[in-house]
Amino acid sequence: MKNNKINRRKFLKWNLATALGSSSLLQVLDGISTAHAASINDEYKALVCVFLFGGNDSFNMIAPKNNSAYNQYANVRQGIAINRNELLAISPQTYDDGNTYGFHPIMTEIQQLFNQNKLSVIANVGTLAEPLTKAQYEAKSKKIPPQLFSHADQQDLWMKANTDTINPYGWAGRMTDFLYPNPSLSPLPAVNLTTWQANLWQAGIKHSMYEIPADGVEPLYFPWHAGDYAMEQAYRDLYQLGTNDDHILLSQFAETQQRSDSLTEIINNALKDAPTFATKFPNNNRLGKQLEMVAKLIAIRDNLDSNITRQIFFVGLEGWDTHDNQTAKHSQQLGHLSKSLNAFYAALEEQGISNQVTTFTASEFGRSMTPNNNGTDHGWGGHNLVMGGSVNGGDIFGTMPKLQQNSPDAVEDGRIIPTSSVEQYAATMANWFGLSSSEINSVFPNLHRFPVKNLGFLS
Amino acid sequence: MINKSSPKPVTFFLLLILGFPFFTYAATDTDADGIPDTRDNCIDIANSNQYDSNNDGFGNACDADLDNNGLVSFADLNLFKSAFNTNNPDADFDGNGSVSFADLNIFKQLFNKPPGPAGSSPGSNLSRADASRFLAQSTYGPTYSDILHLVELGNYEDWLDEQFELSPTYHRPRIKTPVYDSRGELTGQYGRLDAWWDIAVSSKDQLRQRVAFALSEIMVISDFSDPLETHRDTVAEYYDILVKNSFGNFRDLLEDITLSPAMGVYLSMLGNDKPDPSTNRRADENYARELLQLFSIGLVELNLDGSTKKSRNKPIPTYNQTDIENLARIFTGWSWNLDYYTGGAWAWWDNHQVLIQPMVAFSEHHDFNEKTFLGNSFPADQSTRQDLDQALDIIFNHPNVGPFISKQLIMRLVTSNPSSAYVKRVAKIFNNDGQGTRGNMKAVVKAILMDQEARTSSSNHFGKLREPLLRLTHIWRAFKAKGSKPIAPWMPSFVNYVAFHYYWPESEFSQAPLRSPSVFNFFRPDFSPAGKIKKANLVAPEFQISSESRIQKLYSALITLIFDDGFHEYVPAKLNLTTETNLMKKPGELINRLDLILTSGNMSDGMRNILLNYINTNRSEINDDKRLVRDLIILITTSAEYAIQR
Repeated sequence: MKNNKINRRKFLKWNLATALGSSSLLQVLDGISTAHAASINDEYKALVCVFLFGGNDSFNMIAPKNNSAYNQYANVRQGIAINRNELLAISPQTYDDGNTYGFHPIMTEIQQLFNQNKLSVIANVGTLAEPLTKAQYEAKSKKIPPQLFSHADQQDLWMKANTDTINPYGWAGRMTDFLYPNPSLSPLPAVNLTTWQANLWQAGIKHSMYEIPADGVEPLYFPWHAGDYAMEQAYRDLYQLGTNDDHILLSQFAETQQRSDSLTEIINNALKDAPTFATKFPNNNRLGKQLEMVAKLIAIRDNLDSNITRQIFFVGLEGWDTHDNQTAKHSQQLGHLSKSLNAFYAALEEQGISNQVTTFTASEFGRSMTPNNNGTDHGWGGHNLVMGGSVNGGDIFGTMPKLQQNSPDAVEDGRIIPTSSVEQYAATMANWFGLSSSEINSVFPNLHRFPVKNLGFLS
Repeated sequence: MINKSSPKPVTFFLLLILGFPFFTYAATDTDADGIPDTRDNCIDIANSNQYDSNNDGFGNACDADLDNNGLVSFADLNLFKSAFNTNNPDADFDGNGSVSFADLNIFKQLFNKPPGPAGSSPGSNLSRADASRFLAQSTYGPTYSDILHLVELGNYEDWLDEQFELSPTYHRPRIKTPVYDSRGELTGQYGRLDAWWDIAVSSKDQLRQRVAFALSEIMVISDFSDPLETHRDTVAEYYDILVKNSFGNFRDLLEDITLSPAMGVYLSMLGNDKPDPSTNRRADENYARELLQLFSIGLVELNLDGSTKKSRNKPIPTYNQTDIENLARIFTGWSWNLDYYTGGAWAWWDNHQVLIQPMVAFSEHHDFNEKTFLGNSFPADQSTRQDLDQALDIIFNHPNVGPFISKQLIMRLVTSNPSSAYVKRVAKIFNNDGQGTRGNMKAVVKAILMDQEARTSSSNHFGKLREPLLRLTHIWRAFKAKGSKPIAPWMPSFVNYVAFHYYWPESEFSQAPLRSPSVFNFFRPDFSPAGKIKKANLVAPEFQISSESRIQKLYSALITLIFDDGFHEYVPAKLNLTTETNLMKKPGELINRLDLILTSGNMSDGMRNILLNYINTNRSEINDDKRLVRDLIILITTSAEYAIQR
């Protein structure tokens, strides 16, 4: 029996050797090394999207702290309002609407990052077809995004950054199509990486994404008793056969198997050189582990492909749909977010690369100002966090809404109309990422409807 | 009822108009020998005598594979030579009693090809491959004996009637674990998972269970949520609601899930209190919204064929935010079945009877003001119960329910991209089962499975990626898996009974029963993976949990589970491969059998050749037929041809 135990080292050697020998992989590598768009330079940059699935109640993530604004906030939010004296005070660099603001009491790390100018708040972002006022919403005189308040649909619109198209691609994928316009074989797995799941955001026409679970990718192993790796060979022969099948689902599955086989070893071998960070990531939540993997992948990026100067990462955390028992649940979620982002930033600083990585939050919607029994319901606009050495930190960008009864900023019983659109938020990052203004206009075809093309939070 | 006798033309026409699908395809007879292909043991060569001397299902007229290795080769030619001029029945292809030059001519035509193709055994209207395809759609996976049974019945309808008659197997009563462990802690989901695997693999009421599993992916709750995690009875009772109503009426299903405390907790209708202007409190919209969006009518108005209705080129929303707010108010005032009110989810978690009983109304927490929902007025002062009944009637009778639910059930059982005509045929049955009843689930299930598209489509996008969990149930069923006493030291002592003991499949399979990451299931019905599927405007929901790295995880797990001879110490199931190992003497027949059970007769010649070559090249070195059988099962179940259920 012992003889039949897998000889792991021998297996790895086989797999890499055969994988490298395969023409398909050479094509993949060839694709990776394809020249990038002229507009981007050779300095490495990465974008990291932290998607908060379920709808983050960001009006409790950052809330007004001065008496008059706080009292209006507490009056509208009632039992779920944060205690005023517990809010973690901040002093924005430039933003001044006459009120002061503070972070949720559990977000001490976020407060510190803000105070160190490493993080800013982008106020009241959401899906918009064009600028919209309360009167226009109620008169239906302007375009309103479809399927407001639906999780799945608003997630899609955030990922597409385009409210009136059926185009099934995401803005990260479309950006990549411009950055690397001539892949000889799609996808370029080194550009779009996700630790969460396949997602719409990273789907491009020429490019797709590669999923790396937070705990890594196990190589596929066979009992290799049949000499000369005959089973591996038969497995590979079978998916090769499948790639030529007329059946669309069948051949795409076979192609996925083929990529899987080639890329797992590349990723795993590359990850062997990943440093051990002095920073300890929180290990009691899925976000910390994912961001740790992203920090490692950034560290070993040259092992994946030294020609790549742009990378896009997607991480996600569920559990934000706080219809009930919000006070306890939301605090726990925000705690995970605060500690995980903080650890991630520290790990980037360890690598000396924190200026080159911008991390931002996204969530399908904010929540209703008004509470139900002990939670909140689906809203619309919401605040987001942007973190990185290139962020104009310690500030608030955009416009904070009025959280009060009968707010001029609210419709449908307490849902806030966004004042910055997803495409303004995204285009600001695309600009930092190196896309030209014409490329940005292609990726975000509705951007022209908004007077401000760049929210100014990155430099 | 099918194919047994030709229906009279008038009836035939009438049935066509009514949308009954099963007379619309005529039996084809490729070789015009009077035997329809579905039961012709040699489809391409005329053989009205159906002579099959070795009884392998391939008529002699197209079976020159004398060494039964799956391919007619020089070895067979040598065998033929030695049989020449004798009366060896296997080499007597034309069945005239002697092996002659006529037989040699037939041999030449069959050279370098696998035997067949063949339909079913004579006397049945169904081929074995047809039966296997049907059972892949309607059970937790075809087995050889189930295939033979269906072929023997000779038609699908009798099989469906058999299944409809079986009494349901409920999950909660099958839980064997105690409520508390020896330290007084709740034992959690162990017992529920054991019951689920056991029922999936062994229960007789396979169709009901398979439909219940499909419903569990549409009307989602999850034990991957704080309050439900520890309370397996509440979760299992919810599953039993699905089991019960799989063959019931959709209106009852809606009501039962709405009042289920598991759903009440999961989507916070339990404890949903009437609005209170003094504290600015609104009703909780959670259940109201997801009931409409996910469990019944969807977001936009649909045509009967499932396509989106348009007005001025725009989809028409089925409801607006005001409807949601009103429905949320309609649904106020429900909580645990106690004689006093508690809005809290788990205040009474020690009372295990209450945990499984439907929620009850508490009028002091109900909103008695007038409401309007989807254009219907709810007069003031209706009772809590009256409001709920009226709302569920309105939802149930919404024209979207038929196409919305029918399409999703088709996608879970048969194909990811059903034609609009297929959806329409099933939705019609949902709307009226022919006896004037709406929402008759038996009729809907029958319409889905008997449809011509389910039965005969061979388009290049028909079918679906097999769900990871259903791959394992299939393998365990096909090869008569047996569980055992606890096998791993880390397992708690309270599972000290025979079972599969496979508790966390989600880590490798991205799936576990009632354990999705959110109410949006493990994958979304509209997921379209980047690549040629997306370019063809098709969807393939299961691809959402089948990325490159997830395939590796899944396959490593499957290989471990199949290759269980000590390679890994703790494997939850032992496969019984005796029949298959004995068949190794005739590799071609073994592969035919595996093709029949696993790939429903869809295996390509190219794949067959790869497998035969694997056997021929490695058999002497491996020198262990049972192991070789395992290798074949691994190679087939990790292949793309198996991955897509067609």
